[in-house]
Amino acid sequence: MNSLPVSIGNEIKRIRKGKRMTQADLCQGICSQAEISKIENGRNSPTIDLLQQIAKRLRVPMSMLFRDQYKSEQFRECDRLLTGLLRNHQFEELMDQIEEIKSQSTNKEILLLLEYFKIISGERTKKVDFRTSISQLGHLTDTEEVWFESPQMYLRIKMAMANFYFENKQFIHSESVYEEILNLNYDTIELKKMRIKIIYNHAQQLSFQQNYQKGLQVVAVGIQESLALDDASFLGHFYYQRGYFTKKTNGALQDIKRDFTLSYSLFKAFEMPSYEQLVIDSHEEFLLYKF
Amino acid sequence: MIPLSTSIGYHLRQIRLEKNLTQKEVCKDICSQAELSKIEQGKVSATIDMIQKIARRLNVSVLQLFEEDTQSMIFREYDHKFTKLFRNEQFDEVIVFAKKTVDLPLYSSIHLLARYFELIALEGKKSLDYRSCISQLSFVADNEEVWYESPIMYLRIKLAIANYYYLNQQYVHSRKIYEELLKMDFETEELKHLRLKILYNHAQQLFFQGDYKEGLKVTELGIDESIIRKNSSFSGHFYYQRANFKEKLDYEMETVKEDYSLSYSLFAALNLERYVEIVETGRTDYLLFKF
Repeated sequence: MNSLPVSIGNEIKRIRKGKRMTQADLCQGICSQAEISKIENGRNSPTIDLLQQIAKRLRVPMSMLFRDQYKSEQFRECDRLLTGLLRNHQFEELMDQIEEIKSQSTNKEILLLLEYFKIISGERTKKVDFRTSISQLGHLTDTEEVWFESPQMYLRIKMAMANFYFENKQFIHSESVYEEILNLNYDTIELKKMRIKIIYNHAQQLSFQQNYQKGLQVVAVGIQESLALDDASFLGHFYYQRGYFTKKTNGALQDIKRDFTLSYSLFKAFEMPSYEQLVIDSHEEFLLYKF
Repeated sequence: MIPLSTSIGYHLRQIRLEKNLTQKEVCKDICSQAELSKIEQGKVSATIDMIQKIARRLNVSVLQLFEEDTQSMIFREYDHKFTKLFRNEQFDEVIVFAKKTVDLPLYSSIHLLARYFELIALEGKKSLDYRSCISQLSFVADNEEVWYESPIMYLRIKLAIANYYYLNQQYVHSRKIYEELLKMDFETEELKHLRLKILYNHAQQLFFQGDYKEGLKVTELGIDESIIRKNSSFSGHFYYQRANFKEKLDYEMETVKEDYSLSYSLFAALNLERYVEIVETGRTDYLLFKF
């Protein structure tokens, strides 16, 4: 099944309505109203040039037509709900919700999300052994389709696998999952940002494994890529990790102080008070200043 | 303007050649070789469906093909090359490269980029005075196609115009442009990113105009938006600016010091050595610590 024309159609309709335009306004001089109607319903796959004319008439950049707001909002909403339930260990409620959403949704990405939560919940309640859970998760990512249709879900599933291996001290396996996914082709900004999160998790794991040398290498990549993307999400964490690894490998005191101070400043500047407190509680003696 | 199908066809061909694939290998089970050949040459406008299948075979995301602006790798490559030549004041090389670029069937945004660099290079070597440069840049930006074909380029050109006014102490004019730009819809991530630069420049211009109260407001908006977007690009600059404004507005010494120290740390965390030095030498008495 191909969902791209459907999502493009949804997006055209959403933007058109947002701009209070009728189908007739939109198609005038471009194509017939019947055609626009089919495109909006996802029953026709438009050509590039037609799509360009539609974007022009709607006065939006072409790339906006490729984001399905409605679909991604639905997805985010489900995700928020299920993540909350999982975090609070409300497993029965979680299963009920999964069934409920499943009966109403046809969206592939959401269905994948449901499968993912079902497997995680099975493992967390110890109804299913972690090895079986891992192989179930692996099954979800087996088809080549998943990486293309929902790279975010693909990576999330892989990270869950790495995490199960890690929790069960199968470090070699979790390590190889990280290596596998870090070798993928991250060609959009969104994916590149996700990669930064993976790098952070990887470094966290290396920290628990006390593999500080490798941790230092991984963190260096994380810092470099965060800077290239101007992404502050994990930058404070990376400097914290680097300070910690440097300390553990008996690096220069000056470098350690610098890194903890940088991470403290980043948490302060980007208003992440709980992390700011964490640096103070755990490494106050290394801070060069404090507010 | 070049039809998008031509630029996409050209781009697909480049990717195919880079991957050492033949047309035959790419079109297998998707379309005939003759058809792929026509698509690559931009002789037919393919449907989105077809483009998606080809993109998949080439292992690139469809979104990447349609993200004409700075998100696309090819735009970045050109931008990088132009910027480098321009920074080194190799104005003649910029002009030659711009002319060559315009002759290739590339995305419109890249053509705009070339046109933009050509004009600012002409101004750079003083073949064009700043007023004529402004009027030619305005002519490019105000073509009604530019805003939706490449909002990023639209904003960049406008910013360049504001900057020329600013450098020539025409603050009233530059202020007007910033205020207009900030009222626009910034719908995509890339545009929101550029908005930070506009806020920074605007606050800078208000500083020189002596409007510190308004400037402080603009800077704080910049800080808030950087935090929400977790975008580090101007974070050091904004805290530095805030300290400047607070100093002028006679805020308590302690908060001024905190802002300078924070900006100092941020510049260090972002590897902006030149700015680290500026704070260190220019604001030494205000720093709560030094590395």
